[in-house]
Formats: sequence, C-alpha cells, structure tokens
Amino acid sequence: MNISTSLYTGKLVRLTRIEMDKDPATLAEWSKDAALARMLDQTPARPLAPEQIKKRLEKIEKGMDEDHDLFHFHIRLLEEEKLVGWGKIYWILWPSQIANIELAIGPSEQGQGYGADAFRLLLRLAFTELNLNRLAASLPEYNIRGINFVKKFGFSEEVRRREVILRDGRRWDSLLFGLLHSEWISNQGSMNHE
Amino acid sequence: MNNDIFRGKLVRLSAENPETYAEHFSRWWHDSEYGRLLDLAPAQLYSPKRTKEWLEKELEKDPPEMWLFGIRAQDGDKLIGFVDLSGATAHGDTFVGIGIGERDYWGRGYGTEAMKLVLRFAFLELGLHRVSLDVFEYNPRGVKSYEKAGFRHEGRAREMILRDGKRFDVLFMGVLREDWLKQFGAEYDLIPNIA
Repeated sequence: MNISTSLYTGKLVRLTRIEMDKDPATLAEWSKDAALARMLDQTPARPLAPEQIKKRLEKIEKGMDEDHDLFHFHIRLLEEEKLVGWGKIYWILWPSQIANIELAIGPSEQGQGYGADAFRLLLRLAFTELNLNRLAASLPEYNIRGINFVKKFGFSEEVRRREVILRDGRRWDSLLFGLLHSEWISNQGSMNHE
Repeated sequence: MNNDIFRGKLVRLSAENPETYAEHFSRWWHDSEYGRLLDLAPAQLYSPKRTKEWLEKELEKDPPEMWLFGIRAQDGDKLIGFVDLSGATAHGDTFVGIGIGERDYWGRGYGTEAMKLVLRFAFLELGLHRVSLDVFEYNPRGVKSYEKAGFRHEGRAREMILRDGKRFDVLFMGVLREDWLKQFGAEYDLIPNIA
C-alpha cells in the first residue's frame, strides 16, 4: 500500500457516500425482513418506510459533519450503482484512538464475498488513515455467522454481557470483540491483505 | 412491603433542583481525578449554567430517560455525589453511573451503599432484569465497591484508554436480578417468590 492506493476500492466492492435519492428504497426493502436488524444489535426490529429511512440517513450525515466521531459508508459493487450493504466506524474517541465497527450486507446480497472485501477496506481505513489503535465489534451471541466472520479477521472475544437480550422467549448474551492495531499488522501476511 | 427504599444507614438517594446539581457537578469536575475515574472522554469544564440548562430539559422528560439521584450523607445531609441509571433497553438492561465528588467520603462505604440502594430501586421498583457498568483498570477502589454491591466480572476490553502515555483496559461488570435476590433478598426482608 502507498499514498496512491485507493482507500475506498476493493476487489469486488467500493465504499461510497449515501445516495439520498435511491438508497432509502433499497434499505426499506431490506427492513421488511427482521433478520438483518436482529443480527446487528438489540434495537427492536421494525419495518421502515423509505421516508423514515431518509430522515435517519440525513441524521447520519449531520452527525458526520458535526460530531466528527463517525465514518459511515454505503457499499456498492465496483461497476454497479446498486447498494449491497453499509459499513461504519462509529463512537470514535480520538484521545484514546478507539472506535466501534459495524458491517451489514443486504439479505439478497450475502454469500458472495462482498462483506469480507468491504471489511478489509474498513479495517485498513481505520488503522492506516484514522490511525486508531483498537476496534470493537458488538454482536449478539446468536449471530454465529457474524462471530465467525470477525474472528477470521483476528478479533477476539473480550466481554460477555450476560442475558442482555430478550428475544424469542429467551435470554441471550451480548458479546464484545476487540482487535488491536498490532494484531491487525501481524495478521496481514496470513490474511493476504495488500 | 417496605416503602422506605431511598434510605440506607450512611446515605439516602435524593432529588435535587437542577441548579443544585449544576453547582456541585461543576465543582466536582474541576477535580481532574474525579473526571478521569468517571469518564473515558477528556473532561470539559462546563459552567453551572450550561449543566443547569441541560438538566432542566433532561429531568422534565416523563417517563425519564435517565433516573438521576443525588447522594446525601445521612449525617449532616451533605450532597456528596450522584448516581444515575441511563438508557434502559426494551430488554430490561440499563447502565449505572456513580460519582462521589466529595473526597472526604471516598473509601468509606458511602458509594457502595448508594449503589446498593440504586440496585434495589432498579430491581424492585423498575423491574429490570440486569444492571451493567464499566470501570477503568486503574480504579481498583471502584471495582471492589461494585463487587460488594453484587456485580460480577463479565470481561475486559483491552487498551480502551490512553492516558499519561499508557494504555489501560476497561472492565465490564453486570448483576442479574436473580443473583441479586439470592445475595440481598434476606437483607431487605424480601420473600423470594413475590420479590
């Protein structure tokens, strides 16, 4: 990697800005199924209309402008405008060089390697452009796929908050995973990063 | 039913006017050690006016988003700190924050008793399932106090803090209602199946 390497372009996908005209319709479509929302966090899932989503996206843009603690990207294929997911680095605390990371791929777009490609870009951006020392990812214990995914990238389980989530009539733990800059560097060879 | 739930032996949980909180918070935050034990973010030394305006809005919300109490020492009724439950989730979890601003009351059990009172409030009045907190690795006095109040260790997020040129971990702790009832039910004369 050097100064001319694109931070936003991977092998399959690219990190882009929010498109206020088109993206809300796609995100509204995804919210018809609770699966995506339930895998991410404990916020109760609900279907959202495009107009509601647009308001949320406007709030996100305002937050990026004013609070300086968030980088929020919409993920698209290299040669297509179609939205396939989103990724964000949020709750950045600059003095401690830490942040959280979240990745979501639309239900109809999963299983094609888009997530892994986008996650590589997000990690590289976080560690080499934002100069963070630590990233954390929070996942419900039932999101086995997400857990295996972040582990593959070198994250390790640090915190298990017991019975935080009540869903489908039972209690689930909320897990926190962490990845340090030094671990990301030493993983570079085995992960085949550029 | 015991309705005297805001009073312990050393302290009581109090309601204060926004300007009383504001004057005390502003003074306590000028003690940098207090701020560094309480918060990850560097302290902003706000004026009492700003804090008062924020609290006036916050305390008006009904139902409250934040359950904020003053901590008053029973002997002399001096306001020595605060404790709050913030961001209760739809799943019955909340985070607790506590600060004893008056240094004369550090390490003498005042904070621990206030924490025990607010847990009783969380479990018996709010009906929550668990209470969460995080505490910094360089605050062993806090860790010990929370252990006494019933919290158990749930993990350690590495290198979350960079201060004085060193990196420190943040410890996460939690207490489940069921465990709390087993530990403190008898102390509060609770009959387990109706508690």
